[in-house]
Amino acid sequence: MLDTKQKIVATTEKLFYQYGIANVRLQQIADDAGISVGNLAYHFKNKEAIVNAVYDGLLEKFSGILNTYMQQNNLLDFDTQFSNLFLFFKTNNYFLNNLWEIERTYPAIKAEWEAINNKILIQLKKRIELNTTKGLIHPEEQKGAHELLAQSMLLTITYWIPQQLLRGKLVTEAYFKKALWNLLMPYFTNKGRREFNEIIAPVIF
Amino acid sequence: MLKIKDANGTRAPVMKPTKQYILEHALKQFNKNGFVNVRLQHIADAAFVSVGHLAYHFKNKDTIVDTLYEELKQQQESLLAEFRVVPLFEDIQQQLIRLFLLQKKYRFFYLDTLEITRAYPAIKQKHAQHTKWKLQQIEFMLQFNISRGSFISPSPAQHLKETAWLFQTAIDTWMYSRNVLGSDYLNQHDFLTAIWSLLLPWCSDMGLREYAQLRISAG
Amino acid sequence: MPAKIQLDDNAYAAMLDCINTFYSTNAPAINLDTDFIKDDYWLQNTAVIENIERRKGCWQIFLVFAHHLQPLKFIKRGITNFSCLKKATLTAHYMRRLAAKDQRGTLSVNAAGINIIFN
Repeated sequence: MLDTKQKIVATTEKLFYQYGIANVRLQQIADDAGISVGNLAYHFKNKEAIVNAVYDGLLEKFSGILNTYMQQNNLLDFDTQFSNLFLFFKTNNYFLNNLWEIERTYPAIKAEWEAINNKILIQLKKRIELNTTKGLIHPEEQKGAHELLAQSMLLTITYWIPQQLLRGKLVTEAYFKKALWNLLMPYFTNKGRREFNEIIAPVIF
Repeated sequence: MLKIKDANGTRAPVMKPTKQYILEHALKQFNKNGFVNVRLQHIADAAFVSVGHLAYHFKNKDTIVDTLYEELKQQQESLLAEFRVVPLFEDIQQQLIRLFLLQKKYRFFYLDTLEITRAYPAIKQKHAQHTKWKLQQIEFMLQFNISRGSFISPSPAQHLKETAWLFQTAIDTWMYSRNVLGSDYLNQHDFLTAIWSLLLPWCSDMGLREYAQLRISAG
Repeated sequence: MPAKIQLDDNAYAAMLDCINTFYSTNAPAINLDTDFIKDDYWLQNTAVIENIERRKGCWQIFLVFAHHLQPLKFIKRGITNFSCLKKATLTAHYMRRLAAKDQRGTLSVNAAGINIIFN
């Protein structure tokens, strides 16, 4: 049994995905949540308060993904993070759609999202670094190659789901992870390939 | 052209703004304030017409966006069709520059793609097809360069499709992610560097030399 | 709501570096470094007395450890030296109490256990 505040937040998330932040009216939220506008106003003073509450929860979940750094000391660590990121972007699909609107009207939220995004990029870079010292990934042949790899991975992570939906293709965790692993594969050493085949391949295929 | 009666009662042809003129101003407004926040009144004011006149040319806001998207699509298609000719690195660079300028002109669409495709399923359909077509062009470009010897063939062959996808996604979303990360999204040099850096890992020695040549001539 | 902790990118990268070094240098130690644990373990079951001698112009503290069950197993270890006798006595006193198996000094060694045969 969700309490009213949680119910409002859940309804708002759905509406944001369907109509976009700018187009959602407080009356709509109240109707869909099954309460009166007055009741809504009691819990959230204005639209700004609702948006902040919704995005606070969202950003907390997003930064929670950061907590799983190096919980397993092998390639599975990458895999776990891919799974977490996929789950996040799939269930919070309204997030990307409204990003530009958020950037214009709620700069504080956008700043926080930016900070977490940067941290995820740093994590990817550090994971690549660690695996290089462990001998699973080739050291950089050209300067900045690993930085580029991390950025390509972040690009894929962020835009894979919307692009798949746009092209009418199936969105599954397995495809998502395969796309990301395929980015890393060209950089594996023999040892890396062996570990990949032993540990990761059985999980995704 | 609308003909009105002046003070003398004679019918004199008066130059009223054409469809194209209104469209240009609509584009400017969209680029400035974002597609969601622009009302028909704003466009009408910017083009010095009444809302009624606007309605004569364009039934509603959806039609305006649709027309603008058609324009964008056509211009992109004519650009990318040239890819089929002989995509040497010099040509690729030219294509990228022109693509960038096009994105700059219609930036409201690129900065808000997800929102617009959500709100207009018809545009979403068209954009999906257009994206698929673009992907094929890029795959062709990569294939050609592999056979020419300037790219190393990725193994397995699946990688070609994925590299093409990454390349195309990067081009389409560069402005969006730069804007959202708060960096300058109208910097052509940054755009070119970012896109080329995706291709460099695939370059053979010959390709790298050609790219160095490109950088020198670009200054 | 608890206050949010802000960590700038450089600090975050440095933190992840530490985690990385932990995992990449997590190798077994070489025996040379860790033998002392095995070899000196018996010292935990010893009675201790301190001994102060004048060596080279300073007061040298020695601790004499004897295993409480087998007093013949004993060892004399030099610890540190002081130029002042009072300092030395005080330090030795506290060192003994720390080193002994029981701090109050009730553990004692049976002198009869030291069974040396003079032949």
